[in-house]
Amino acid sequence: MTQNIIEVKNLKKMYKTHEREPGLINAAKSIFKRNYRIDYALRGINLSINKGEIVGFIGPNGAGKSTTIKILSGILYPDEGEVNVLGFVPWKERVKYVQNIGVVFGQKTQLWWDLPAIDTFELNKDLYKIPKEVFKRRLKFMMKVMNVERVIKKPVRDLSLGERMKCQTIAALLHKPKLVFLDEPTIGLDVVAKERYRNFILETNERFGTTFLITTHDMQDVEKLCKRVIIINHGKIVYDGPLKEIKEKYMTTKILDVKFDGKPVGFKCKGCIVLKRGRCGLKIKVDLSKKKIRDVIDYLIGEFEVLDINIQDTPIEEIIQKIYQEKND
Amino acid sequence: MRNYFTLLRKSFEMELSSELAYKWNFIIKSVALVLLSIVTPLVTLLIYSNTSGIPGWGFEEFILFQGTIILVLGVGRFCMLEFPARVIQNIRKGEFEKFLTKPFDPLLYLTFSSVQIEGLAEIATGLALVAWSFIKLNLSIISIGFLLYIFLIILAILFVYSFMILISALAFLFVDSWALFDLFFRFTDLARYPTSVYGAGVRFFITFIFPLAILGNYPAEALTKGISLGLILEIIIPVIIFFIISLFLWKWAMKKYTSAGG
Amino acid sequence: MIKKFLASLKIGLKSAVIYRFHFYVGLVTAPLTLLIYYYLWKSIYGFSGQTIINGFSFELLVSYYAINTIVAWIVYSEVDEWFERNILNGELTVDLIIPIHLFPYYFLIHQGFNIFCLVVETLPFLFIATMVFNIQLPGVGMILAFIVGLLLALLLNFMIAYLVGLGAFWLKRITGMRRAKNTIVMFLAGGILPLSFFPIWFQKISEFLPFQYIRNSIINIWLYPQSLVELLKIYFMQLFWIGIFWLIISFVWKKASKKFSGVGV
Repeated sequence: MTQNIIEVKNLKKMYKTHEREPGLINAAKSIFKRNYRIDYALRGINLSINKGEIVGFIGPNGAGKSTTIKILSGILYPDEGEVNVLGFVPWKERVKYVQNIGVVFGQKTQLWWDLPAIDTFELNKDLYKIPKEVFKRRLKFMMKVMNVERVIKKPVRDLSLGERMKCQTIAALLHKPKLVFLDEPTIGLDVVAKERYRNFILETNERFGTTFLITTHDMQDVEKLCKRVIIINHGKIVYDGPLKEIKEKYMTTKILDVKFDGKPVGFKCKGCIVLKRGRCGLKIKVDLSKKKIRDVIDYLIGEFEVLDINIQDTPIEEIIQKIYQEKND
Repeated sequence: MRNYFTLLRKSFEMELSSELAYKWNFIIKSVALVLLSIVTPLVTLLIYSNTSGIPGWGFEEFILFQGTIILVLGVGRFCMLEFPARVIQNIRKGEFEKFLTKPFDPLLYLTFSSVQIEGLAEIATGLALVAWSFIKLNLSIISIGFLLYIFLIILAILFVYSFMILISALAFLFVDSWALFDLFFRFTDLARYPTSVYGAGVRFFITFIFPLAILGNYPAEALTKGISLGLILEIIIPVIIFFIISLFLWKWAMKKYTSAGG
Repeated sequence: MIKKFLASLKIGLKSAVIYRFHFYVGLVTAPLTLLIYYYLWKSIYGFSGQTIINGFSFELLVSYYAINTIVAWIVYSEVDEWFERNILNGELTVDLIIPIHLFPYYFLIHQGFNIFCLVVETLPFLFIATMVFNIQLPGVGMILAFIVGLLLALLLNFMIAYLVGLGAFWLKRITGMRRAKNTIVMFLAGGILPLSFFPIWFQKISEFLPFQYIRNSIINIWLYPQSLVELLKIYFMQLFWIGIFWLIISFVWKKASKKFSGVGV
């Protein structure tokens, strides 16, 4: 049986900002007269998320991802629209509501900067009224999975970005929230740490049925974690559906960043477009429907002195462009 | 040298622009600073209306004293205070190297690129108080006393500058230099009242060891009461020595810093 | 509820320990300031030839300044600065995702700092001041009355700072407001001069303003034995202003939280 734990209808939010020309005179002028600009961060968002889902929430910078998460976690007031999360309207009854959720902002830390992470954990134990035994057990489990036993007694300011992120996630999940918002959680993690982090989320999801809404720039996160993807652009949802469809329909290209020993002359390959030609490098877009990535690499290594190859996924901007194209067709 | 003045002008413009960016804060701050500048003379007025005042200093004379010190510290805030603060901040973040990679002498660069607009309010307050008491006391601009006053004020500003260099130099040596910064600044409170109120020990300390008395006491005294040539020498020498020591300490700290490789 | 509050207090205390140098500085500068006042007033008293000025003997006035320092430290609040900083860099968001209201959270963290300050700064200073400047301790009853007044003053002063801090939701930078508040509160509360040095008409007005109930009135409980009626009058005015500020803060907070955009710089 599934049940909706997030229900959002026609959510709108705008910001008023001002802008001015450079220079002191214009700065002085701006005291008297300001040109205000209204930015629509959200232009009517509808979504519903079921219990136990892991949903990837992606989109380019400034698309409205963070704004949505902030509204859903009760920090921001929307201008219009209805939101129901776990039976609460997040921004009313904030304190009661946040007891049930966990939030991790990749860019900001809720850990106390000059204190060891364990102090924040203990603070949260009391703030969320976690029984002592439960706290101990859960902390032990999470520390082990995340491999942070050795860093939790160091002041947070001395931790690496990745260590901090892991500790932050622990702090946000200690009280066993039913719903967790992760905003750019894998920023600054190395490949091994990312893998560990993703496994931790999958395990939490499986064991406790925790629902996750994750924003990220890393398509690998999405591929490993989410069955469902919501794509947002300019404050509107442009796609909401299974990841599989996205992969099959829109992630049909890969980008190869190749470095050569010397200038590559005479590169020609079916299904490949050269995006950028550097002095000793090429940026190549490979159309996966026409050519296998393996074949391109074989060709490159066979014909040229290749120093380095870097494979990237289809950029999110391009996926969005394709979605638009398809809609218009 | 022209480069440095361009630097100063640019810093001033940038600082003013960023203050103006927060419109209401700028307006409130401007009004607040004007209002707050009344508090010092108001306290003096209350003291003088309840008592016979500070021995040796009439009301107008003491206002002149206070105006002078507000003016001098205002100049300090306007173009110097930001400088040790930046040194401390950047050393803490391990980013001091960025001042060494610029085509300027780091000390001069920091001096000329550190501006704090608020200082202007203090300068204006100081000037207003000095001007008011000047008129009330019927003092003349064409006099040896006034020349000495100007000279001693310049000396006082040099002392403030030395002070900033000293704090900056010490920032290289001590971890928690904010505390030190605070500590040193509170010591200037000693200069807020005439040296005559203190015992001989304190008076000796703020004249010869840590010549804080130059900030207000001696310029005001030179103008209102006159001052002997011998005493002037006795005042100048400690200030100059203090300047040299600070500069020496700075050079030493820089050498230590660059040779340690950061 | 109590557990949440204690946890906030504890975390404040823990981080105060980290910044302890900051407090040690006060232990040097406060006696220095007191020394400056001592010399200043000594020369003024000597010059005027009076032994009592506005009800203060020289010794009593020095005591006033000593107790003033202690009261100032205990009621100290910089929550306005926290608001400004947290709103400018967007860190306020992380204080809004934990299940406790912001007012008690900030208040108790702050008291964690203040308790640490009390132990390493205030009490040692009181000890030094009583030894060096011959400060008289009041009777047990008056000490209790002093503490009650102090606790109410603490809340009142915090509320004033909190209200100024909420201004940052609109203005982002509130350095001007903070400067103005600090100086006005200090001056009108009797932090620079006892209020009995002010004109009579102002003293009359001041009785109805909140400021003197943060410092001057509390210091007086220490310095002069007060009648029960006088004490109740002080407490009543404190509670009255706490009520007023409570209403204003609740109202402004409702507007402010709607205004919050949660973006960093």
